[in-house]
Amino acid sequence: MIVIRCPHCQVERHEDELFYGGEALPPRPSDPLQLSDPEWTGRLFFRSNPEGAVIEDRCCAAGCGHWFRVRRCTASHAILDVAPPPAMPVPLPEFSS
Amino acid sequence: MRHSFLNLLRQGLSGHRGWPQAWRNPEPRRSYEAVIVGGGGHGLATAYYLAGEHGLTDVAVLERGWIGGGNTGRNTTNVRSDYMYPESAALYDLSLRVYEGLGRELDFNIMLSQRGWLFLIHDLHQMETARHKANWMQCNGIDGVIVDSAEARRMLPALNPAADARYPVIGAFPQRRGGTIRHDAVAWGYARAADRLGVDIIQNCAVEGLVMNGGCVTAVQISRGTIGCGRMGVAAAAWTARVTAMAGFPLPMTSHILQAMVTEPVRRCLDHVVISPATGAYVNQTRKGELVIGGIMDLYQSFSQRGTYPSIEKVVAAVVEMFPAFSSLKLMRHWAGVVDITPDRSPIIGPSPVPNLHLNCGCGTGGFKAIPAGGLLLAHAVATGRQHALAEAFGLERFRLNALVDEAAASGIAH
Repeated sequence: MIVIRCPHCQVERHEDELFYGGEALPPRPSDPLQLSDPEWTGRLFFRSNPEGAVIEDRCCAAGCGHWFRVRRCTASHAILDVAPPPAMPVPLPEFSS
Repeated sequence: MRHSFLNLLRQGLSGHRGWPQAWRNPEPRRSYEAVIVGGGGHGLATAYYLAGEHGLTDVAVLERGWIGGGNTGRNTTNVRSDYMYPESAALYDLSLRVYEGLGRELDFNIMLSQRGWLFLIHDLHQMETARHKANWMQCNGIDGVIVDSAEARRMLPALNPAADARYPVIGAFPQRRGGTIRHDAVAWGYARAADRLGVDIIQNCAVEGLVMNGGCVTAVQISRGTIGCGRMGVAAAAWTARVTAMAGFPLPMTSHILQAMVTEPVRRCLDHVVISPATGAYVNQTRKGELVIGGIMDLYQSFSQRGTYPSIEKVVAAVVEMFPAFSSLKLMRHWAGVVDITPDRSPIIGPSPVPNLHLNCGCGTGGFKAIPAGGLLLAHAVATGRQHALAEAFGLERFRLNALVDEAAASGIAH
């Protein structure tokens, strides 16, 4: 079972208490036209999905309600790092067709 | 040797020692006209149809583990075609129709049991959705009717009879042609049939790299050396994206674990496959008497191939809520498979940005029931270089075009 200490409220929560927000993405642009169509395709549909360390968003849903970022190994489920969002920036996903 | 009654009798009398090896275990040749990556149901079916339907027998199937050791051996063996969108209905019903004659075609008993797939309806909203879907299915020419609460209870005597049940059953939506199949037999049957047509099945052979030339795949690197290939089909479920990354392009898929579990065997108590999307579990009884239980997919990305306790707890709670008597059974085994989920929950079939590389992946939680169709359509793409008419909606370009086949909502399943 995945157990993570929330970096905001410092309480340990298990996976059912942490809302999963998906693989982390860069902030959504305030103006949609800042991204090209291929960039939107990448942002909407493509994720890095590694067999190894991935950065994901989780929310301390049963506790303080704040979002944070987790670096987790998808093969072992080991938690490698936990931090509030600005501390773990991520690139925009690439796309193909 | 054919699996005939006479041969079964002869072998039975001689202690079953005379059966020949079902498929060869060949050393890979230096090159093949077509290489299929992935020795699960989809890859083996592709090789079988390449050889049988298209006459292309210079084919190798590369499997990193053993035949049927991935998702083909890790599912809950259910088959059905109760999809809503016409594109999906055509795909999955093709699969079911092929499955209906597959045992005879492959000379291998796949133990198809069309016991009926029963979708429980717990409230008026679900009833409305089910009626909508039933109308779509009739338009698509696929069987599916709604039965009332009394009929559902007649079909499922073990159903929670309490008037104040947390999830009261107000009706059900059976697809009578749905049911179960012996899952390993599908892999073994296709492997044996493909091998007889001259296909080389190479196990314990992971793809370590691709040799590209002029934008095309020309060879595959494996631990034992390099195998030349004229064209390639990749049907490696979640690991397909790893192969395409070697070819230089990503896929819109994420990997998650889907878990299942089985109880100790008991006498026959459940005739149908029952799914309750509201509670998030589905269950059927095997011929041995065990109850096979599946449930929700873990939402976060994982390649771990093993289960998690929160999901086991949710699934078991859901089944016990539906069938209180099952609470006295012990779980015997539990397992997880890695499913490849696309943004619209529909598979990716057909061409890729690499001209001689074709894809069949992204079946997600419905890969087992899609095996014959996946094999037929990928074989068509590899053999002809063109997309099959039934696969046109399922190409990789649909994400750029925003032309999704959005089964995330339409299939109405819990994951």
